[in-house]
Amino acid sequence: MADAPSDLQTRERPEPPINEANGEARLDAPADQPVALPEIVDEPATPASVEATGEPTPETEVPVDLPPEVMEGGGEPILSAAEVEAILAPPEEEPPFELEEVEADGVLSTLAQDGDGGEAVVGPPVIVDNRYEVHPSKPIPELDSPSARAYEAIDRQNPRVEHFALVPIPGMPIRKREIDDIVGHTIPNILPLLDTGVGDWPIYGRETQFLIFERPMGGRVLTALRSDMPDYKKIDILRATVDAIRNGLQQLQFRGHLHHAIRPDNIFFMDEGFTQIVLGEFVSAPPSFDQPAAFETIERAMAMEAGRGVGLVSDDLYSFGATLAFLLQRSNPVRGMNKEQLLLAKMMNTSYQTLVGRHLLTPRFLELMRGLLQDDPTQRWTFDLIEQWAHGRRVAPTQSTPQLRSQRPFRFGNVDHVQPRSLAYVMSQRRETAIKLIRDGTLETWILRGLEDKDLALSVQGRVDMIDAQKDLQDPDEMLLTRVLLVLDPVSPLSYKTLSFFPEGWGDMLAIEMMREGDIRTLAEVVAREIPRIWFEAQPGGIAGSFIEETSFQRLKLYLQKTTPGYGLERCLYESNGSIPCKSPLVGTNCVVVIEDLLPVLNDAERGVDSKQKPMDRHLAAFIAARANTDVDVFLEDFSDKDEAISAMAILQLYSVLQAKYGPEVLLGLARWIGGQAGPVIRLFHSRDTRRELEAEIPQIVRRGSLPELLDLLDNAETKAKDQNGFTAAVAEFQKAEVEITDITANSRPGSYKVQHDSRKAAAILSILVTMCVVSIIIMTR
Amino acid sequence: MARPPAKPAAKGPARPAKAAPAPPAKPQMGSGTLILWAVAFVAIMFLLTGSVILLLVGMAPTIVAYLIDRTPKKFAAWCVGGMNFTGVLPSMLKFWDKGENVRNAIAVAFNPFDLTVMYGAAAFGWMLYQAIPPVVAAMIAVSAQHRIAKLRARQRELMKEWGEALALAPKD
Repeated sequence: MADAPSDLQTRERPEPPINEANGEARLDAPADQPVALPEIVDEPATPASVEATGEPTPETEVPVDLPPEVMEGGGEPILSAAEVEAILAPPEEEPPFELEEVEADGVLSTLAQDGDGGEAVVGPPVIVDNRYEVHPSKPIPELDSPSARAYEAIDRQNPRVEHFALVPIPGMPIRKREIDDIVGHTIPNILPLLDTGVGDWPIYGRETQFLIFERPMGGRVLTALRSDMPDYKKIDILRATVDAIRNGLQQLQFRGHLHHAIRPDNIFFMDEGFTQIVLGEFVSAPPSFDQPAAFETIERAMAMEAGRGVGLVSDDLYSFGATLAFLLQRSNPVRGMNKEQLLLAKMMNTSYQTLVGRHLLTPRFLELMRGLLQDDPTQRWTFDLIEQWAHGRRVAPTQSTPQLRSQRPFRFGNVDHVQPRSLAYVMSQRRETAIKLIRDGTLETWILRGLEDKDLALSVQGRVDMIDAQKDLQDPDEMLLTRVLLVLDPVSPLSYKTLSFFPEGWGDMLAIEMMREGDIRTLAEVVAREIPRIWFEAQPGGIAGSFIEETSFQRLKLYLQKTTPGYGLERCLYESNGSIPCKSPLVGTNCVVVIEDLLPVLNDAERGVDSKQKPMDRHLAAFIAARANTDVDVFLEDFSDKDEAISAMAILQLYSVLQAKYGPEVLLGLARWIGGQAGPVIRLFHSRDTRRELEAEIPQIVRRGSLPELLDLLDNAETKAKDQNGFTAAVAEFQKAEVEITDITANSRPGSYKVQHDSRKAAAILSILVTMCVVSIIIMTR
Repeated sequence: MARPPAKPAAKGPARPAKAAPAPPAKPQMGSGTLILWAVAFVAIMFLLTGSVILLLVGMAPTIVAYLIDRTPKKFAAWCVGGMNFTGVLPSMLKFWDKGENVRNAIAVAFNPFDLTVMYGAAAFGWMLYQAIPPVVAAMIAVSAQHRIAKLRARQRELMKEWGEALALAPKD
């Protein structure tokens, strides 16, 4: 259990020291003075051709395949003589490159240190999918992923094949779409994911998801390369690794997936003979979540780990190049750098110059690395070019797009900036000072005088005017900074308050922040204030080019605007993360990822809850609304009704629909739970006889465990119509009797007109009758 | 004066009535009818002078009751008149036996015994008028209470079956 938060803690981006003194901008260097370089970046090597040196290679046993351009000396010089010398020189001063060293902010590795690996708990194995035995007492630290621990797993059906299980951190948004697509399939050069399942994991004390992989028997490629095996063997391994990564990525691309977990410690030998190389798992965390900053493109490394989004295949190719660079080197050129220093170095000196140092195992892959580490994605090598290179054919050199550079450096954040991109990044890390920079016109002045770009200056001024024109805008400075940063660097992630992410990574960000109880308020604010729209507008295609993404954010905004159960941030969480298990307290320690598993869990939960508690809450409502492939909004609206009967009926209707659609056929506990709360629904019927009949019939249906039957009993149209008609007739009869009683009461008093009239009339009639009798007698007696 | 009969409505769309229809007017005696009655009374006075004298003297309590009875149906007049006629009828028969002339009429009319019978009968009629209504009112009250009890019992029965919402339901 303790692992989860600790893993996450290591990922929290440390806030850069906001030193007002350091953060102050300085535009003091005139154009004719040399530009001050960032203190953290080494001076790049002086370009020169290899032919000019003509020095033999010291490592004669290592075949050196220099790029054709270098050998021919034509076109743009790729390597300087000093660089080649440095590459071929044996490492003497610098300590050996140990990638396993954990750096403070995950620049190189996010793996846990030795001794901080998976916990072991003595106990019986956990059975997953009725097939695999996962042993909590047998962790395999050497197969751990940064966000998932590895444990020994045995396949009961095929015990001879070695397996291992990865146990992701509970609540981690794993890549469900990819898992569903690749599970059980053999993809060349990709670690085979054999099965997935859910089990009660004693280490976490709750149910969690398991990813069953075939065990790579040869261990990590990195371990082999750091061993004392001969260099020529290492080079053979590297060549095989290049082929494996290329093929693996291409196979994934055929299936519409990206890897986003290519780093030196995630490449394995499947066999002990070191012949079959595979890319390690990539599904136990969001895309690039586990990637150290060194292995991500500049723009993706600028984003928070969870907010990097799905990205493009070119991002994988960059990681490929960076991984290759680190595997090739005898020393680590970025040792000691923190994330900010690394990013600034990449921005100012290119990724290639930053990541590729002097002490390479072989220069054979230089051209490949140069192509893959192109910071401009349009210039980055594609699979075709890699294949062309692999077949020994010449690849035409890419023409780098000239970057906008200033003749006058702009000192900000203790760094002299000559590019708007690096300035934008540092500004995003020192927001308060950066806002002053924009407000007092210093930035615009530098753009005009230093960059000499009037259009850019006008764009910045336009953003200032736009924000100033909106008098009732909340956080105008933050909005201004967000917009200006995207003007300076349109491909950078969206930077808003404490967040830095790509819009497509918003869902993963939300899941992670919810998991560690982070800043979800700002994430909600992003959607509510339509901040992603700013990023979409800044992209080359504009809003039209990101129509689908923009629409999905509009939908999320609608969910946020409704505060009733089934909506809100919970709905956004489940809508944007298909792998997130339901977080309802009613689900308890169970791991419910798919809607089919929900009702059985609630059925079992009935024994442990207060019978008066409703079998529904905000998380359940949102989870059902997001996962059920049916329109349940009408039930959700009724569920939040103040009338308990309507609310209870909505719950019954909703669960009946789910049972009818997803099963199981018998839900004794849930039927008892809901049936026990049917009182308000029964009281909707007017007839006491009908109520007694229903109350007598509910226990019988509960014993059958059928919610649709319960619904049919309580929501029967015929019964309801009969009850309503009877009630209407009874009301009419009651009111008629009341009118009659009122009439009688009013007209039966002795002094009432009617009584007097009738009584006098009676007297008159009596008198007439007597008269008629007497007259008749008189006449007859004559 | 009786109102002339309303003219049939002209063809075309019906127009809304300008005012609520007036209650049916009490039939009043027309001038022709009055003259007819006067002529008939004068004729009867000439032909049956004695009988008319006897009736006027004998039925005097009825005439008084008619005049003092303010009720529209004149139940007091009917009550007194009925019994009064019962008292007058024997004297009238006696008069008709003696012969139709004014002298006989006055003799009978002012005979104390006959007068006592005629007026005693009228008094009995008045007594009926005074005594019967309280009895009848009491009977009506008893009957009403019985009916109310029966209706209340039915209402309770309905409420027992359909609940108190019956009493709270909006009236049609």
